[in-house]
Amino acid sequence: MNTSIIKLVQHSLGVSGVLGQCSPALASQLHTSAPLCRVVSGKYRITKKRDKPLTYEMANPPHYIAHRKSWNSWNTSNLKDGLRRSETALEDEFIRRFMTGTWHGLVCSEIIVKRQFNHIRVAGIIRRAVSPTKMYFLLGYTEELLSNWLQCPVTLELQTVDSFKDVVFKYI
Amino acid sequence: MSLFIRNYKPNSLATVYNVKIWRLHSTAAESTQKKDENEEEFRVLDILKKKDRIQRKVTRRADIQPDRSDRMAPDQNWGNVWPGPKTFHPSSVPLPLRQGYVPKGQAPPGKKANAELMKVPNFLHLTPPVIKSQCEAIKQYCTEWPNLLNSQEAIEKHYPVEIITSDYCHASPSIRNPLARIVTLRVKLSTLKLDKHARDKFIRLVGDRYDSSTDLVTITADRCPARIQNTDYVNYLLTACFHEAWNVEEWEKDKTEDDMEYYDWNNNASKKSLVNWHLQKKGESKTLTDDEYKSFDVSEIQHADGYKNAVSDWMNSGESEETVKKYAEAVRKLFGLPEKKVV
Amino acid sequence: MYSNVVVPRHWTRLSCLCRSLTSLEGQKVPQTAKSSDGISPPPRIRRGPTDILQALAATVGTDPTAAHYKYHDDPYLIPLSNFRKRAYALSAEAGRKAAAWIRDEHADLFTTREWDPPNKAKTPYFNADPHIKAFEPKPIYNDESKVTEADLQYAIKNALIEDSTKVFQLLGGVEGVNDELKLQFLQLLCFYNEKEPDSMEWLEERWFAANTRDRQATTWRVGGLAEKIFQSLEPKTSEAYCAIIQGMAKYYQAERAHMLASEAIEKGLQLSTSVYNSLLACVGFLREGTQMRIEALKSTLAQMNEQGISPNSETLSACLKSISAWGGGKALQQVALQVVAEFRKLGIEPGLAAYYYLLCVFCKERGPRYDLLSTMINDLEKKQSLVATEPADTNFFITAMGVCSDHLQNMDLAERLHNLLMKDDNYKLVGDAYKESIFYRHYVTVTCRLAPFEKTVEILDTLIPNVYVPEPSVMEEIIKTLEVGGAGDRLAQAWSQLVVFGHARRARLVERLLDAMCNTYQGQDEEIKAKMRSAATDILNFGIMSEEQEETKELRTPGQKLSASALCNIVDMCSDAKDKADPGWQTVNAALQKLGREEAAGVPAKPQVLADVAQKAVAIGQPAIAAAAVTYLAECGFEEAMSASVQVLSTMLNRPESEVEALLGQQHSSLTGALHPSAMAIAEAYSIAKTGAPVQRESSSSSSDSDSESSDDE
Repeated sequence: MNTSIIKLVQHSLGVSGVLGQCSPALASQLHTSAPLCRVVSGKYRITKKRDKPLTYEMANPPHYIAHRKSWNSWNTSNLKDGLRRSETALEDEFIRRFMTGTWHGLVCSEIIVKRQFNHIRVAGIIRRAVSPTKMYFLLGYTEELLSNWLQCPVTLELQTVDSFKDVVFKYI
Repeated sequence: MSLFIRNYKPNSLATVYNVKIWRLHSTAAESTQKKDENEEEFRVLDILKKKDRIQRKVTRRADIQPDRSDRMAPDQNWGNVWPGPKTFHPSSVPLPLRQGYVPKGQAPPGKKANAELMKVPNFLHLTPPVIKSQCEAIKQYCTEWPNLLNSQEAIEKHYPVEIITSDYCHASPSIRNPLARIVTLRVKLSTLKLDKHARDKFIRLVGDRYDSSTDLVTITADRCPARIQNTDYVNYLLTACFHEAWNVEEWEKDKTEDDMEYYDWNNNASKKSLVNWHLQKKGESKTLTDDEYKSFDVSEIQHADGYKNAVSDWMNSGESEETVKKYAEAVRKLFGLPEKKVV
Repeated sequence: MYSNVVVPRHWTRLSCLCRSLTSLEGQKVPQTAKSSDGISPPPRIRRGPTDILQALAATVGTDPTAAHYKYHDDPYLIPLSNFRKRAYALSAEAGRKAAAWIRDEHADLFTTREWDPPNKAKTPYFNADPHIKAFEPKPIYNDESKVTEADLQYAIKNALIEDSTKVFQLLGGVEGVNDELKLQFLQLLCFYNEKEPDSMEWLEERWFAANTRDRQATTWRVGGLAEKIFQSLEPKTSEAYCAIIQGMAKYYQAERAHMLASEAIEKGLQLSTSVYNSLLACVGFLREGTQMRIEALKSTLAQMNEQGISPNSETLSACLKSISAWGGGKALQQVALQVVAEFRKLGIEPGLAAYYYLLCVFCKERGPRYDLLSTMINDLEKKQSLVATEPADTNFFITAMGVCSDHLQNMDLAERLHNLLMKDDNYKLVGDAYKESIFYRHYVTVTCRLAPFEKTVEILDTLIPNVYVPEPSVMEEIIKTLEVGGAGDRLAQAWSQLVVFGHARRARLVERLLDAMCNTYQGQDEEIKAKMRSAATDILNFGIMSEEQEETKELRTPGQKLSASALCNIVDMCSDAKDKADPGWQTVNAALQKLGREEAAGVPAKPQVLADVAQKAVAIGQPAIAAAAVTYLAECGFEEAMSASVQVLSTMLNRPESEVEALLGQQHSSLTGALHPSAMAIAEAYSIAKTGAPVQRESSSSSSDSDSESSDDE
C-alpha cells in the first residue's frame, strides 16, 4: 500500500511536475511506517469459537484514538514544539516494560503514564493474585527504582480487580 | 449391529465373539468401566492440551472491604477526600460514572476496572469550592494593586516600557526551556521625549524595529542563553540607541535633501514656487536666498497652509485618490477658483 | 562598548520606568507596606520556597473514610488492623530499600549515559535539571576504597557512623586526619555513642520502631573510638571537652562526665549551656538518696551560676528530668515547683518536655490528684505554634492524655488536648506509631467512660479504623459503652470489626460482646434483632471454622473456646425466631450440640435461659432442640432441669403438668415404647436431674438418639 503511494507520487511528478510545487504538503502526508496500514495493525483476529477476550483498549483499533479511547501517554512532549520527544517516548516504553516485568502476570490493562512537571504518575489495573503485603513491596520497589532511574518522583496509582475477567470488554 | 447379529448363525463361538463386540460397542458407560478395569490406560494424544487450559478454580476473595465511597457522608468536604491530582479510582468517587463507546442500546462500561476513566486527566481536585479556599489561603502572599493604575492609559503613562518574557510549564525532568530566554522590550517612541533630530536618528538606528502605525519600538533579544542576560541586553540596546540619537556627529551636517527621511515642504521647490508666485502676485520681485525661502512665513499667504499640508501629504504618504483630491481642493482654494462641482 | 556609554539621568529614569509583564522581579520597590504613591508596586511579601504549598496544604482537612496517605487507596490495599498497618507500611519500605540497594550497588548504571560507546569513559549524566541529590547513588566504602578528607566530611555531614569510622581508619586513624575534622568526628561519635542511628531516609522503620523509652543505664562505650580521639586531640579545646562530656552524660557515664567537667573548669575552659544541661540530666547517678541528689542538683546549678552561664529552657527540662527519675514524694514535688518558679523568674517558660516531666512527678497512678494539666493546656492553647525542641517533647501528649484518662478522668480536658494536637501541624508531636496508639487508647477509653453516648459514637466513627485500631482492652471498653447506650446495630457491627481487627479469636472479648448483645437484645427493632441474630450465628460459625483450621494446621497456640455462658447467649438470641424454618434454629442446634459435647468451658451462668429456650422450641415444633437443651441442663445438674423437663413434656404431650409429673414418676421401662424419642430424652433428663444418674441407659446414647432425631426433623 505504501509503495503504491510512492509510485503514484513518482508518477505524477514525472508526468506533470505540477505536484513538485506542493511537495512539502505531500511529503508530510507520506508515511512509510506501519500505522498507516489500518487494515492489520492494532487489530485482533476473530477466533473460530469467538472466545478471545478483549479489553476495551484492545477492542478499539488505533484509528479510534481520541474518538473512542484516549492515549496511554500524557505529556507535553507530544504537543507541538514539545521538548524531549524521543527521550520521553523511550522512558515511557521503559516504564511499561519495567511494570509488566516487575508485576509479572498481574497487569490487566495498558500501563498509563501521565507526566506533570517532573512528576510521573503510572496508572494501571492489577489482578489481586498476590497478597497485599507483596503488592506493597512491589509498589515501594517500583516507585523507588523508577524514580532513581528517571530522576523524577514516580507515583503508582493502581486499581485492583479480582481477575482478568473484570476488564474484559468483549469476546471475538 | 443388530443386522450383523442376525446374519450370523448362532453358534457358540460366534455368540461369544458377538457378545464381546456388542459390549465393546454398546455404551460409553461400559467402555469407561472397562477402561477403569484395565491396568494400562490408553494414552490419548492431546494436541490442543485442553486439560491444561482448564483454569484452576479462582477463589474470589471475600475479605475485601466495601468501597469507601459507600461510607462517605453526603455533606463531606470533597477537598479532603481528593486533595491533589490523582488518577481516578472507582472506590473513592461516589459518582455513578460510565465511560466507553458501545453500540446503540448497550450501557457503556461502568466505573470499575475501566481504564478509560483512569486515562483522562480529571479535575476532581479542583472543584469550585476548593479553588475558592485555595485562593483565600494564598491571599496572604498577595499585595494590593496600586490604586492609581486603574486603567490601561494610566499603566501606559506610568510604565511606558514593557518587558515581555514567557515562562513555560512542561512535563519533563528538566525545568529549562530554551524559549524562556527570549526577552522583548516594547516602548512607545513618543514617551522617549526626543527632539526632531534625535527622533529621526533613533528611527534610523532601530530600523524595522519601529512600527510607525502604532509608534512602538520593539526590541527582541535571544542571543544570550539566560533571560537575565537578554533583559540586560535589551535595556542596553534601548539606552545605547537613546543616547546615540542625541549625539550629533560632524558628518550629519552633510545631509542633503535626498537624505531626508520625509518630504519637508519648507525645504523643497514647491515652497519656492509658492513664494515666487506670491511675490509675483504682489508685484514684488526679489531674489531670495535659500535660507530666506526656508524661513519665509507662509501664513501671510491665504490658504497656503492647506496647500502645504496637501503637498506634504501627497509626497509623504504617496499618490492616492485621496491625496490627489485633497491637493486639487487646496490648489483651487489657493487660486481662488470655485469648488469642483460634484456631478 | 557598553562601558563607554555614559549613563546620565536618562538611564536611571528608564530603569525606574521598567515594567515587566510576567514578574515583579528586579523591580525597585519602595519600602512601605502598601503602594506608596499609588503607582509603584508595593514591596514584595517575602516567602520561603514551600510557603505557598504549605498554605495550600493547610486547606485540606482529614477524611475519616480514607487511610493514611502512605497506604494505597484501594479496597484491597487499605489496612484495617494494627498488624496489617505495620506489615504494609514496612513492606513498601522494604521494596524501597531493595531499590536503593540496587541503586547503590550498581551506581555506574544510574549516573552515566546509556549511549556512551562501550570502551570510552562514561560521562556523568543527570536526567533531572536542576539535579536532585536524593536520587543520586550513595557511595559505598570498603577496605579498597580510595578516600580523601572530603569523603570523611561527607560521611560526617550525613551522620553515617559506620562509613565515617571506615573512612577514618582508611585515612590513617588519629594521625591521618586534621584536628578540625577530628573534632567534628568526635562530636558525631559522642552524639550517637558510636552506634549507627536509624536512617532518616526510612521513615516507616523509625515510625514503627519499638524503642519506646530510653533505658536509664550506663551505655557509654568505655575506651571506644571517641575517647581515643579525645586523647589524641592536643591541645584539648573547650569544644572537645563539650563534646565528650555531653556524650558521656547523654549515655549516663555520669561520674566521668562530671570529672571531665571539673577538669575543664580547672583548666579555665569555657563550657556551654548544653554541657550543663546534660550534666544536670544525669546528676542523679552521682549520689544515692533523694536528699543527696537534690543537693547535687543544686550545687551543679550553683556551679553554672559561678561560671556565668545562663540557663535556657532545656536546662529546666533537664532538671525536671532528673527530679522525675528519682521517684515521687512530697519533697521532690516541692523541689520541682521551686525549680519551675525559679526559672519563671528568669523568664524561662517550661516547654513540652518540662510539662511532661512535671506530669511524671505529680500525676502518679495512686497518688492524690493534682490538676496541673488544665493550666498547662491553657498555656499551650495560647501559644502560636508548638515547636519540638527535644526528643522528650513527643512524650507530652501521650502522658497528658493518660493523665486525662486515668488520673483526672476529665473528658473536657481530653478533648481540648486532642484539639490541640490536631491544630496546625502539631500532629508531628505525636511521636511514633506506638505512642500514637497509646494516645488514642487513652482518648478512646476516657471518651467511652465519660462522654455522652452520641459524642462517643461520633468520635469512634472518625477515629476507627483508619486513625486508630482499638486494642482488645479498649474494644471491651467500647462494647461496654455500646451496651449501656443500647446500640444493638452497633454491637452487631462490632463483631465484624472484631474480625477485621484480628481480635475474633479472643474468647473473652467475644464473650463480652455476646453478653452485651444479649443484654441489649430486648427492645430493639425487628430489623436490628435480625442483624444481631445473624452476628451471633456468625460468631458461632467462626468459632467452629477456626477450630477446624486449628485441627488441620496444628497451630502452636490453640485459640480459647467460647464459654458455656457465651454459647447460651447465642442460643438465647437465636431462639427468638417465630418460624420453625428460621435459620436461627440451626444455630441453636449447633450451639446446643457444642454444649452437649462439652466443648465449652464452664457452665452457663443463666440456666433459666436454656429452660426457656426448650419451652420455646417445643412450642414452635422443634422437640429435638428442646430435648437437647433439657438434657444438657440435667447433665450439668441444674435445678431448673426438673421443672423445665416437666414443663416441656407437658407442652409436648399437651397434658397438664401434674399429670406429666405423675407419668414421670412411673417406671422408666414402661415409657420407653410409648413416647416419642425426644420426649423420651426429656424424661431421661428428668430422671438424671432427680437422681443424679441416668436410669438404665447411658446419657451418651440418649443424646445421640436425640441427635439423630433432630436431624430427622429437619
